[in-house]
Amino acid sequence: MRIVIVNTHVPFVEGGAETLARTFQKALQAKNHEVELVRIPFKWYPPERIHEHVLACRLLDLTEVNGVPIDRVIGLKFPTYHVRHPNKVTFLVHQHRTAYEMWDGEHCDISHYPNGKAIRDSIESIDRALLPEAKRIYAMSKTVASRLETYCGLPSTLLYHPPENATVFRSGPFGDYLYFPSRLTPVKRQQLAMEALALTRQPVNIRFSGSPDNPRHLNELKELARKLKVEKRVQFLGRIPFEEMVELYAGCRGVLFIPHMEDYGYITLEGMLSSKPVITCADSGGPTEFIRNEEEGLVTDSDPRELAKAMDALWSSTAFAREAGLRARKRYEDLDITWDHVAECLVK
Amino acid sequence: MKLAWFSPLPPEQTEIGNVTARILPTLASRFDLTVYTGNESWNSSADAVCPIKSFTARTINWKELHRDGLPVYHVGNHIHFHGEIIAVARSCPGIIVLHDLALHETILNLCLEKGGGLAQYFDILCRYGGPDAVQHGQDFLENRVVNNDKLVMEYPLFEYVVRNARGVITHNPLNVGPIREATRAPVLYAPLPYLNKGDFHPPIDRTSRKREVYNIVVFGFLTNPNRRLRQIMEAFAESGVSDRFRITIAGKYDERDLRTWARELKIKSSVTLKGYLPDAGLDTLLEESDLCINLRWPSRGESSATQLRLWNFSLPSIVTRIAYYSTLPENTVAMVDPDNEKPDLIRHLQQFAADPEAFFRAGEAGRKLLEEQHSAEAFADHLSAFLPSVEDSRGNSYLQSFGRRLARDFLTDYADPSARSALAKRCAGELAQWA
Repeated sequence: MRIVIVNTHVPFVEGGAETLARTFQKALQAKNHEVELVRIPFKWYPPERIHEHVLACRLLDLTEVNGVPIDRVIGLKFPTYHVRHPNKVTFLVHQHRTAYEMWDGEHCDISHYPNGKAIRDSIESIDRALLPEAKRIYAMSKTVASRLETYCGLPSTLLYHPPENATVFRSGPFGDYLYFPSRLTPVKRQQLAMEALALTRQPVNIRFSGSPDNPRHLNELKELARKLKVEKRVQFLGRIPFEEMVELYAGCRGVLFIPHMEDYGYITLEGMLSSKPVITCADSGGPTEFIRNEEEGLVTDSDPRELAKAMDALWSSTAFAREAGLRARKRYEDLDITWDHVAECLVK
Repeated sequence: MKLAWFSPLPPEQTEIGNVTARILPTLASRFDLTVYTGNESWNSSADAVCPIKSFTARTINWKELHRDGLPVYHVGNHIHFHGEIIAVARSCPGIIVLHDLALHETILNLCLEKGGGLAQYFDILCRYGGPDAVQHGQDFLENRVVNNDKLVMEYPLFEYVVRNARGVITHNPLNVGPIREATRAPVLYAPLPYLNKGDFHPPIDRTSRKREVYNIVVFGFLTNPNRRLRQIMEAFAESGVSDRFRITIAGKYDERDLRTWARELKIKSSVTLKGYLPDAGLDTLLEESDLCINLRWPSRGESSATQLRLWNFSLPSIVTRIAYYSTLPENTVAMVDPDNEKPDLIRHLQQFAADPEAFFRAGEAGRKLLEEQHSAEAFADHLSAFLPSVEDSRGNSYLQSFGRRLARDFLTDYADPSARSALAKRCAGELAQWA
């Protein structure tokens, strides 16, 4: 089969969706499909740009190349999943979240514009009207499926997928740091982690890895660490090689992953694959589909005091950390999260 | 449902603000309401009903506004009260309550005082009226035309305000057609609300009044010749029944003119000038009066809170058969034809002298209509029924402006007309599927 995966492309920004697209491409190629990854640039501000990009996607012709048909198009993210194709399947990674559940939140940009509400309504209207063009819609997590159902009234099929290089992750000793791998950006809430750290009673340390979306944010985080007097208990490692990340997972006491309404979150799965407990928050979205409180880790309110208690609990009981880590690994395996299964669903 | 209600409020002297203040309790009981007002201060009683926020178009917090709900913008023809509201409404689509189609002067003043000056005014005039409108506008501004009524009525420019609207409400049924031609948004005719049901004045039974001399009242902003004061006084003098009436004139008028006319027409002893009366004084006057002459000619078409005030006191009235007044049920008012004004007026005065009860019954019918159609509750019912259609079309309002921008910013780049036309069709076809 000749398959095109379409995804958005934000130059110089690399996140989970980009990794998914790349890994997914490899998985389909491993099944002997001819697969191209088409990345369409996306700029979402000022919000008037959004509709221009939707239109750009709609005006593209991906039905054939050089007279040879493209058999299937698989769309991943807004607005690229609106590309026209008679045999399109949507593997829904993200809708434009600031038009949905993030609208009322502090991280929403559109709502600061006078026509923001009209643009939000229009995005929802576009999704409602055009998403059903797909032959089938798979959602990569319950969080994503629930958003689609709640706001657009559209059903979808849940389809979990593994992180990149899932087989490489391994367990190791329970070291003297919590590991927080993520892009440095407000929605991942590194700030909340540091506020909690300042309230811990145990000598907890956090190692952050990942590059900032905006360099200014890194400076703000460092400044906050100084203000909270925790600068000696945090490390900002920046973007690190994959192997180093595997090592950090393997050697940590536990994984800290507390985003606001994350749609999926590879970090959770990578922590589970590394047999590490994961601390997450009740409003973190995707991670809570995998982590149950006091089972595979700890789930707390997104409040610095509560989070500090969870950090202290994990820090003070290596035994609990070890047992929860083992349960996490087992749960991952029980869920049968494999690319084989994903490829089978999306190509059938 | 959450509504952000944009309106002036008392103590600003505007009937739109007065209406908002009066019906606020009912609205707040039916909707989750926040009032946005251009006032810097307002009567504190309003604060107890719902949150009140002062705003300007420059400083408004958009995020907060989006949280406060669907904007409902009251737009009338006075830049002081409605200029900022129009500016916000143009940026942030909502429901426009269009109190007046004739917004020409407001738009002109808005351009001159807060916008892009005359260039913007002529651009708007050209967009909604074509090149002829621009010529007429220039003629007026360069003093080649003295009276701008024709310009205002021919090119009312309300289209400029409703263009981005998500819905439009008018209190005049005659305005529904022209508004529908100007917007794809849903349009509602809802009678102007006047009072909450519990606040109506007790009905007045005038039929038991047997008077030798009946009291006629004329009141309001009477300096505008369209209130026909001179014509009323002439008809009164020539009616042959002037000894059966006394005319009381209250409000704003040119006293010297009135005294001269009364002397010329030899009705000086039948005319009383009261000047400006506070609300309570005017209410007493209306209660004690037997007939009101409430003429408008020419009329710019707006619905009349004055008429509702008369009906609140079951007061019979004579109106001009024009614009909004021509839509009033025949059993509620006596009408004069603009082309036959004086004879009609004389006829009505003579009929009143002969059979006042017929007029009193009209006053009572008006009062019944007021209760049935013009209560705050009736308006809230209309609004509730209207909101689902506004919600249903909420995805459309931005698409329309996007389509216009697309045509302006992108398609004009194509020098080849056939390529431009093909792309325009393709884009239009796409956008049609998006909502």
